[in-house]
This record gives sequence, C-alpha cells and structure tokens, in this order.
Amino acid sequence: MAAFEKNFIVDSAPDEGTAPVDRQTEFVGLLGQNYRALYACAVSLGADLHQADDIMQEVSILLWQQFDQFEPGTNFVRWGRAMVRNVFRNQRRSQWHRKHVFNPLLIDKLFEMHCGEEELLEIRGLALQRCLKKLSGSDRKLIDAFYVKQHSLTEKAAGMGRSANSLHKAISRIRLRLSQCIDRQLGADRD
Amino acid sequence: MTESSFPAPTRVQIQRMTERLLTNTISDEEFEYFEFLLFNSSEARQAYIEHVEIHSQLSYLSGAAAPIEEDVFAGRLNRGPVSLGRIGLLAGVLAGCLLVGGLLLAYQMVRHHQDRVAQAKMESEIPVGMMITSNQEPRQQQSSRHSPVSRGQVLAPRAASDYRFRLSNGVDCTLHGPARLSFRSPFEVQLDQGTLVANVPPGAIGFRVETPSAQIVDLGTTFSVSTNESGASELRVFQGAVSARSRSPQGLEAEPLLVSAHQTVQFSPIGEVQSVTIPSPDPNEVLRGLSQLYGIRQLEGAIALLPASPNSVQLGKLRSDTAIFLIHERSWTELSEPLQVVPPTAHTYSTPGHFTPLELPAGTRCDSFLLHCDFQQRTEPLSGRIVFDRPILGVIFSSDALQQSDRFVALKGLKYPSDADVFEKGLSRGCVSPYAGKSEMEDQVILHEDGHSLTVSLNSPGGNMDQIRVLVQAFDP
Repeated sequence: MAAFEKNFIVDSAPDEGTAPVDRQTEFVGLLGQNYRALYACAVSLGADLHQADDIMQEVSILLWQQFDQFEPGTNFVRWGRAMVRNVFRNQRRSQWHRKHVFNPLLIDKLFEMHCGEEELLEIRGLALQRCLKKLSGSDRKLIDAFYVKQHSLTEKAAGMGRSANSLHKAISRIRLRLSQCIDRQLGADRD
Repeated sequence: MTESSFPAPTRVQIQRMTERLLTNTISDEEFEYFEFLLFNSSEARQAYIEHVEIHSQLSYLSGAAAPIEEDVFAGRLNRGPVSLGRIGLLAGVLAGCLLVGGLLLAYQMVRHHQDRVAQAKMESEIPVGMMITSNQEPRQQQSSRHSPVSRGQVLAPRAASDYRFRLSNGVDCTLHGPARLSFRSPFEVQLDQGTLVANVPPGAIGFRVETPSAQIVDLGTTFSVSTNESGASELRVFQGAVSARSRSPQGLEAEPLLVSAHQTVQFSPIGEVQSVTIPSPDPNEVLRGLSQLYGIRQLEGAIALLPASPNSVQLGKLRSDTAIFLIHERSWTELSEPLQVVPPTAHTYSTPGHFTPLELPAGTRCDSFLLHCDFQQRTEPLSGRIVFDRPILGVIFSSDALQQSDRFVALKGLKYPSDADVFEKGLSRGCVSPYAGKSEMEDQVILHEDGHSLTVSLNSPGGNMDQIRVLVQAFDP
C-alpha cells in the first residue's frame, strides 16, 4: 500500500453537483487497500512492471467511473480483478508487441488461480517481509536499487558497476532465495 | 492430454522458468514448454503465481508501482470554466437533456432491474454441486440423493442427521445437523449453524466458508468448522493449512491467521480468537464426517482413524498398545506409472504367504490409506476390520512394495521409513512375508468377498512394526 499512499493524491476540494466527497473517500480507501492485489494480478497474467502500471492507471479510472455500480459490502478486489483482466486483454491485443505472451486460455486459468490464492498470497506476503529481513545488506540494497523506477536497467546497472545481464542474474538469484525462504516458512517446500 | 494425467513438475523447476521469463532469457522452445506445463498442471500454475507474486511485491514495497499520473476523478470533478454569455444557452440545452435523460434513465432502470432479476434467476438455477447422500428420513432421502444443489439453496438438516455433497470444483463436504448452510458458489458457502467437514482438492484452493464470527479460506486441506447458535465458531485443521479471519460487529480482522494441521482455533461472536491444540477425543460428528469423506463405512475392533495426520510413521514414532492407526493419505490420486498390488479378491494372507500380483495401470485413480501398528509393550496381536463404501483396488503389505508405492501415494509432510531403513538396516515395515520369519508369523490380512472390506490381525512387538497400504477406488459421485 505504500506506493499507493505515496503517489495517489486526491483532490478533495468540494465540487458542486458531483459525487459526494465521502464517496470519493470510500473509493480511495478501497482502492488503496486493494491496489497491491490488483497490481499483482496484472503481473501474474504476464504483464511486466511497466505494463502493470499502465493497466493500473486504466483500471483505476474505470473503477472510479463505474463506482456507482459497486455495491457497498461486496468484494471490491473481486470486482477490481475482473476489471484488471478485461483491461489486460484489451491492452494485450492493441499495445504490446512482446515476444513471449501467454495464450488467452492460459491467462484465464492463471486468473482463476490468482483469485483462488488470494488469502495464501497475503500470508506469503507476510512471510516475504520476514524473509527480506534475513537478506544481507548488500542484497537488500541491490533489490531496492533494482526496483526503483526512475532509471533504466542499464543506468541502474552502470550505477552499481555491473552489466545489465549480471544485475538481472543477481536479482533472479535473490528472488529464488526469497521464494525458497517463504516456502520453508510455510512448509510448502516438499517436492 | 488432460490436466489431471500430467505429472506435475517440481516447484523449483517452475520458479526457475518463471525467473527466465521475468529476465527475458527464456528461449522460444522453453517458453512453449513453460506454457504447456502451466496449462496442464495446477501445481505449476500455483508455483508460478506464488513466485511472480514476489516480483510484484518487491516492486510494490520499493514504491516502484507507478503513481496514478492522470487524475482519476477528472471526469467527475474537473469542470472547465464556463463563460457567463453561454449560461442561457447551456441552461436550455441542459433542460432538454434532463428531460430526455430522465426518460432514458427511467427506461434504463426498468431494463436494468429486469436484467438483474433474469440474471439472478439464471444464477440461482446454476448447479454448484451434487448431493451424494443424506441420512434424513427415507422419503426425504430418496428425493435428495444425487440431486443437484444450486446457488442460494439452503440445507438445514435436523439433529443427528447428515448430508454429504460434492461441489462442482471437487470440494467434498459433510454437514451435520442441526445445521443451516447456504451455497453462494462452488467456492463459497455460508455456515450459520452446525458442523461442516470439508476435503478440498488442489484445484479448489480458495474455497471459503463464511460464519457469523469467522471467514475461513482453504489453502488445500481437510478441515472442519462448527458454528453454534450464538454464532461462535470452531475451526479444526486436520491436513494442510487454512487462512482464517475473525469477524466482529465492526467487520473482519485485517490480518489473516494461518492455521495448520493439528491446530484448533475458536472465534467468539465479538471477534475474540483463541488457539488451542486439538483436544482428544474429537467430537463424534467430526470423526463421522471425516469417515464419510474418506469413504469409510465402518471401523471395528482396534482400528482407529487418526483425524489429523501424524508427523511420522517411522519405527517408534507413533506407538500404541491399544490401536491400529488408520491414516488417510491421499484422495483422487492418479497413478503416473503402473503399480503392483495384492489383488482385491477374497483371500486370507498369512506368513509365509504368496500371491500373484495385480498390476494397476498408469492412470488409475484411487484413494490411499495406511494402517500402522507399532506396539510399545504389548505382545499379543490386535485386530480390526474396515469396510469402505467403494471397491478396494489392491492392498500392499510387503516392505519393498510399500517403499515403492510411497512415491505415488505418500502423504506430503508425513515422514515414512526411508529406503536406508528398509534396504540397508533391514527394517521390516510390512506385515505378511513370503518367508517364514518370527517377526511376521502372527500377522494376518483377510480380504472379504464383498470387495469393500478387509480384516487385519497384527502383532508388532519390540523393534518390529506393521504397515498395510490400502488403495480404494477414487470417489466419483
């Protein structure tokens, strides 16, 4: 939620003849609570981080535009996920020219699985926080630097005195270690 | 190739392929293979999603998720400046628009209402599962057996009566009265009162039970939930793990609680949570529910069903002088290779005993059980009988064959005797030997003519232990 809270600034000035401010507040609260899950859903369907950002921009707008149709007390994240899938499908068709994009039928299966794993992913998220604390200082710095958005991969790599390829490999190794750490914590490492 | 017949790749394989996808170092051929794996294996999809989640979480935690640069509210809030000279014209246009808009809105509302009614009717008619058995009165039983259950349908068995049903995603449940349960979808039920015992296959992870005091979400497991009249609930996990949130009048607790096998958690209607270990003995309805889910019609003599799987069935780790333990290992397992078993035809086996093995072909779907007998001090045999509600496909009682079949049907997380224990240290975990030997001389396995039952008599004093694996036909309503 940190990224959402930092970056999402709401113009809460009263405005005549528009939706009440408390409705906006409700929307912002719901989107803030569920932004991470929706963002993760986009990534799990095969979007890279930039594409996931694009999808979330559009999803946020669409959710707000259709917020009147959202029934309070029902599941916002389920509603939002359906929107993520629709936007993902549209953007996939019209904008992306990536070499490796999943088959639409597989996307549907991944979507179903992601919805079903909601709670488990939340628990794994808590385990990830614990595993991050076990990383060495240098690995943690590498992760922080890698996921900072403002610079390109080449710039980040140059800043760390590495090649882009070696930076990718190092990050990949750290993610695998984190995955195994989480699996160990939750007893899912029994192949 | 169907999904279920595909041998699952390991988590580590999937994690590594996911990394190559994330770092754009995956080749065309490997990507094609990766898609194939993900398409055909739910375990592969789960491993992929869990690994890629780390990537998105790290991005999110580092604040790298992009700011919402466009004003989401622009369409609602930002009005351009309007000159005074145009106000009259705008007012006229606005009045016209309001009139037409009002008529359109009224029409849309009627249509919307009609659509919603039609949709609700259609949804309520979609079956979410199938009733399997009920021990209601005979007349009710006839009408409820093998009938579909639909979205919104309410089951309300009275005291001392049970329902068993299977949802369309494979979730197998028993409901014990007095109870009240309503179906929201194959993935969600509301339990207002009574005891629900659920066995959830991997493909239905995320199955949710809502009670007045808790929200319980399965993570691939066997569990029970009991709710009393006051709304308090008790969750017991027998295998795997579930996620649970307490519910109070203020709403759901934000952070979920991970509840693992052997744990019991109680939720009060005001949101208080208490975690305790499973007390013994278990309530009858839970054991009865588990027996029904596992297809056990009757247990006699010294055989006792363990509700939660033990940590180990290695020598000396699970001992009793009064019980032969019955452990449910797996449901709906499909053999990926042929497996040799003792045929299920009626016969009495004792040491020294020979049999002509039967080969169960690859693709056979079965449920697997392990009988375990390891005495502390006792020297006399214990005996008992099990009756299943479906045919026995085969029995395994030699040490070698037990070791071999562990690969197919062993319960994840349960420690079995290792190959070194059996083949190097000479541990006998079986119970009927082809050769005369003192340790197995008093063991006997009787397969009955009905094809659904067996009787065992086992003696396992000292450093000896006896195990028998029973494979029964997978449940298919």
